[in-house]
Formats: sequence, structure tokens, C-alpha cells
Amino acid sequence: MSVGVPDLLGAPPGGAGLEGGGSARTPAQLFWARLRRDRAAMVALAVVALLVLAALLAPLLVSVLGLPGPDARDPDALDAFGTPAGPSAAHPFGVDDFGRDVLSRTIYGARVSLLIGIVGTALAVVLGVALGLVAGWYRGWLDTLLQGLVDVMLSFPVLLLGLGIASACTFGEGCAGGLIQPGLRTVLLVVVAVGWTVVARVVRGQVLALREREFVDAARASGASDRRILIGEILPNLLPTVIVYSSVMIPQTILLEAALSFLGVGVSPSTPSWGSMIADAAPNFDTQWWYMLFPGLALLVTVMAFNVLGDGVQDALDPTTRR
Amino acid sequence: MMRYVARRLLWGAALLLLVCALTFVLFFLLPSGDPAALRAGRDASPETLARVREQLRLDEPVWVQFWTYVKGVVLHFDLGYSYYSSAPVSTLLWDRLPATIALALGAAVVWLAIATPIGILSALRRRSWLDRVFMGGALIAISAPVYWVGLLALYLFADDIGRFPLLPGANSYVPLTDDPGAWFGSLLLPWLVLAGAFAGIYARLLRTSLTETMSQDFVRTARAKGISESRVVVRHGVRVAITPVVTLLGVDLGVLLGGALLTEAVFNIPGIGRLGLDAIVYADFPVIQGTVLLAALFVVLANLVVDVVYAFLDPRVRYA
Repeated sequence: MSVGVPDLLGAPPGGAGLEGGGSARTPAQLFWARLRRDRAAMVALAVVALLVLAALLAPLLVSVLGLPGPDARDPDALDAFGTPAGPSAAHPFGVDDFGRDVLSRTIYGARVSLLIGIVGTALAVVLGVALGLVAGWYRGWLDTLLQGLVDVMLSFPVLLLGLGIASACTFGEGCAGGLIQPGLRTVLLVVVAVGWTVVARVVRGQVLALREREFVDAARASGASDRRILIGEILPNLLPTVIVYSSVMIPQTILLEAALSFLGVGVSPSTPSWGSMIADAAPNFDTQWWYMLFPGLALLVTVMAFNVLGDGVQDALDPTTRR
Repeated sequence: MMRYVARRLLWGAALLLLVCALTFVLFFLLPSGDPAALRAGRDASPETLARVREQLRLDEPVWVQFWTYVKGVVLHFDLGYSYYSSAPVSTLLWDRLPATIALALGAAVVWLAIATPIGILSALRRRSWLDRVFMGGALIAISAPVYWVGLLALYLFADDIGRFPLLPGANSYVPLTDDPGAWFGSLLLPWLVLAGAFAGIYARLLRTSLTETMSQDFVRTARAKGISESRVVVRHGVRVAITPVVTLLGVDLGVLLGGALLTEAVFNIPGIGRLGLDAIVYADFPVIQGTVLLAALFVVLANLVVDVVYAFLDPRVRYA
């Protein structure tokens, strides 16, 4: 559909917003139309889709490529001194100290990165939006308390706070009386604990502005309850902001998980994760470069794809930015 | 103005107290392990455990323990003693501070030196091939994990294991007071690696900010007055566009002074970050708590400085 040319006859029925020269399209349609014109973002979206597929279908992909499983040890790939072999036809990315296939482990590593990156970000955003909504709407002591808490959390450097929580929960029998066990759940806790603050602060600010608008008065005058106004009127208006922040947070969350795993307090050591693979490779990286290089490249490509997609999403939602 | 600064100072102090409380909860109440057992070491006799428990005042109610801790920190800068080495935590921190300060400040100089020209050129030549190359590089820089870049840099350029032995590698740090030349050489590679990601962030930020500034009316006015273009860019454009960069710089320096954990780990630089990491390996909670508190202190101070500088520059902030 051409933009800027009146196209009333061809407009889809039931469209909400009037923008783009008179053609009526929903905000979602407008967003998609703008995003589709961004070639870099489309490439990034394709890469992300491929990565998600690879993570979901890891066992299938590994067997199609004719590779051993991520935990299978190939003693033939180690020489008499236990030195692993580099890239070869049987092991395209080489093997690690235990004779495990690096390509196979790299494919499986996508699971942890994407799971933490997407689910962790989603949880942090949900918590941040919920707290920001409540604080901005009800104000008063609740708001003061939340603002203080956000200030305190933001006083900790992210990685150090994450390490602190992770280590408190990783040693002994988990933390909070064994409620939070080391591993995946601890990493999710860290990601949510450091991620919700900025979202909560931004959402609160927006709610403070939105609650003074006429459509909120109208809803209230027609007898809508607080809950109904918050969910039906305010929340949809927060959507663009929430989407932008989520898209910016995903790559940062992936990097945080990798850093925690690199430092030894991430998911359990038996699960292949790009960060812990780089950590395992670190002692011998001067001779066994392949074990360090490939997980890092996978991490770089993944984070880059999400960053480019995030830039595209931001531009598509805010057409006033000029790039 | 004084009232604003006083208010900010008070809030900063309150924040640190709250951070203190949170770290106390995090490191003394959350872990399921027994602090006395950690302090006493392996195979301690019941008598030793009882003595340590008394020493650490673990028999007293939690809030008394917390009060004792806060009093020690505020009045005597006493952060307790390391479980592992028994050294006072404040001494450990003090010894590690110079390396971290050198790493953070040096890296900041490097990333500003890289990002400023790139950000300005990219903004002025938007959508040119130069801009595309710069922004592509910036994208790679912000997406690459710093520890991985560090290992790659060592693999390529370290003078002991590198394929192109150019610069001193890991473990080569010497204090400035011992040998300034060797100190400078040993930090070159860490500075470059740490500065990489920040240079990417700052170049992107400056480009966006300057692009926006250059489209504003006062820039058109300046041009209309017949001032040379370079003067318009530097005196009118960059001077305004630099504001968000300065804010970010304050915050980033605050964070880095609390320890550049990953970079210090890869290059084995004896800074605050390494101290904290080692403490985590040994479950040395007083030291972890000390490093977290110090890092928070830097962050709070950095925010304070940024806010006060802002209030000086822009009177509207004071009444906000």
C-alpha cells in the first residue's frame, strides 16, 4: 500500500488510527509497514527467527548435521596427552577438553541464551509495568516507596548485584531457605531483579502523564473501575514504550546471562551455555582457539541481531527519529 | 541552590544506608550456609565455632547485628574481616583501588577519543558510506561480550602467546609507583578492550544527539549569521549535543570505579573487581559486601555529581 496517497477505497474496514495520508490502518499495521521497509531490521528478524528455530529444534538439527550430542564424548578426538583436536570434517568447530563436539554444544547453547533473554526480559517487563502502573496511578506512599526502591536497586552496578544474588543463591543449599535453587531459576531471579527497575520508572512517568488525559476522565465519568481504566485505557497506551524497552533489554539480558555463566554462577555447568563454554575455553585458549572463538561468535551474532531489530522497532514505533 | 545540593546529599546518604541494609540481607540472611562455619574454616571444633559465633555477634538479634555493622562502617570505615585471609576488608579495598581507578579512567580517555570524532563525523555525514562503516563497527562493538574480545585480543596481540606479539598480555600489571613505563604498557590492551564497547555506545549516542541538535532553529540562525560551518558545528552543535554524553560518562565512570569485573578477570588485573570475584569463589561474604558497598558509593557519588553539575548549568532542574 502506498503511503502518502489517499487510499480510502482500499482501506481495510475497521481500521482505528487515521495516519499515513488518510488510509485507515491499525497501529499494529502501521508499525509492521514501517518495520518492513527497514532492510537491516528484516535481516535481523530473519536471523532471530532462525536462531529460535535452531534452539527449539536443536536435537533434530544436530542429528541432521550428523553431529554427536552435546554431551557425547569422543575419545578419538583427543590425542594421547588429552589435547583436543581442532576443526575437522567430523567436528566442524573442533572438540573441547572432554572430546565433546563444539558445534553441537554451540547449537544447544542457543537454548539457554534465548530462554533467559526472552523469558527473563518478559518477566522483568511484566513486573516493571505492574509496579509502574500501580505507583503512577495511586501515587502517595506507595509511589514514594517504589521510587526509593528503584533508586536503591540502580545504585548497584548490574553485574555486581547479579553476581551477589547469584553467589548468595549458588553456595550452600540455595537461598531464602532453599526456595531459590542454583541454576536457571537463580539466573532468572537475577535478570528480573536488575531488569524491572528502569521499566517501572519509565512506566510510572508515562502513567502520571496519561492519567490527566481526557480519555481517562471520560472513562471515569462513564463509571469504569480503576482496574478497568488501568487495563483497558492506560495499558494499551503504554504498549509502544513497553515494546521499545523490551527490545532493548533482550540483548542486554542475553549478555548478562553469558557474563554470569562466564563467571561461574550461571546455569548449571552441565548445560551448554555460550558464556560457560568461553569460560571453559579460557585456560587453554592460546592453543585451542576454536573452543573460545565459536561460542563467542554465536553470542556476537545473536546479540547483534537483537540490537539491530531493537533499533528497527524503535524507529518503526517513533517515526520522528531520524537515522 | 544550596538547598537543592543539601537535599541531594541527604538522599545520597539515605540511599547508601538502604544499600547497606540490602547487602546485609543479601549476604548474611539469604545464604543458607552458617557464617561462623565459613569464618572458622574446615573441620572446626564446636568450641571454635562457638567462639567465632560470639566474635561475629551471631547470637544477637538480626537488627542488633545490622546496627553494629552500620555503626562500624559509618564511624570507623570498618567493613569487617575477610573470612578467607582474615585481613580487614577496608585494607583489601584500599590496596586494590589504584589498579581499578587507572583502568577506568584510562579506558574513559580512550573511548572518548575514539567516539567523539566518529560520532561527530557520522552525524554530519549521515547515510554516507563513512557513517555506515562507523555505525556498523559501533554495532559490533556494543554487541560483543567484553571478556571474549579480551581473550581474542590476548590471542592476537599479547607478547607472550599472541600471534602478533605487540603488547604486554595478561598478568603483566605492575603498580604505577614501581615502574611507570611497564604500568602504562601493561594497561594498554585492557584499556583498548574495555573502551571498545563504550566507544560504540558513545559514538551512537553522540551521533543521535548531534543530528537532532543540528536540525534546530538556533543552528539555522548561527548559519544565517554567516559563521563558518566548522564553528557552527563545534560552538553551537557539539556544545549542546554533548549534554547526554556527559551524563552517561558520569554514570559509567561510577559503575567502572566499582570494579571492571570482566576486564579485570580476563587480564588478571588486581583491582576491586578481581577482589570481588575471588571473594565469590571463596564465599567470602564480608569482602563481597565491601566491594558491593564501595561500588554503590561510587554510583551514588557519580549521580550526585551529575545532578549538581546539571543544577549549576540549568536553573530549571533545581525546582523540579
